[in-house]
Amino acid sequence: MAELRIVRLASQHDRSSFDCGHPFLDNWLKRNAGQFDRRDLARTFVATWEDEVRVLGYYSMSNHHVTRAQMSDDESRGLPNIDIPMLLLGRLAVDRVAQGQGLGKRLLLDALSRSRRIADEIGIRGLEVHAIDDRAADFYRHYGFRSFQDDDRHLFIAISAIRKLNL
Amino acid sequence: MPHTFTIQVSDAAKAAIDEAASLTGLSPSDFAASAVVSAAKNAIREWSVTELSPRDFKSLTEMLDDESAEPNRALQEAAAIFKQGNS
Repeated sequence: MAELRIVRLASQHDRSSFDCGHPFLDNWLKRNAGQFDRRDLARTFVATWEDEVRVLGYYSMSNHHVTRAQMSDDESRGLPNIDIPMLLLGRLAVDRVAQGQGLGKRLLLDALSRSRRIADEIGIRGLEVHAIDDRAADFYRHYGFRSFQDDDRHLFIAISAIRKLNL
Repeated sequence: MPHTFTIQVSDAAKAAIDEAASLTGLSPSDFAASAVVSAAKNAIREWSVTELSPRDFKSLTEMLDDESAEPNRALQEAAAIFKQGNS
């Protein structure tokens, strides 16, 4: 039986027919992902059937950090002064032909596993995501991501929790 | 050298731009231009930085510091399946 595999985006991957239902996510994969990879601004990982080149799903990750807005001395008491190093799971999408088969879950776990490895190497405190709609936000919340209070489509999960999965 | 953009907006959006411009003493066109530049700079900055309000920064720090936090059941089950698939 053919196996799915998730690998770094490369020139041979066929993205031309990718359609996840969000043109913004389709176009980013087709037009921007390769350029961002070449410029070392973000990496994209794609799911394909082994020995096939058609992309069925993808996610992109980049370096990110969280800083705080201006605070009074009182408000900032006890809080770290340095920015918090994070990873951003900027995009995650599954083509319509592969939706409903658990591929989104598999891509997410691959991203979590990769986050844990990166955290082990360089020190990262958590993974952030920007959900494209409420349904996507519910997907992340189902797996334990928490929303920021001021924006419920902006979610995160701590590396300490990811590490306990032993991925 | 100045550049010219043409944008299309609804009647309601035009009314809001006119009102905001009059409140700030700018022409609607100058107001729109400054707002767009500000939005562009924010979008570029947000590519690499998330700036949080004091309350969100505080709750994020507390949750990241909580070493006892466990992955939830759904994530643990998903991880078990993922590990089988990759073994």
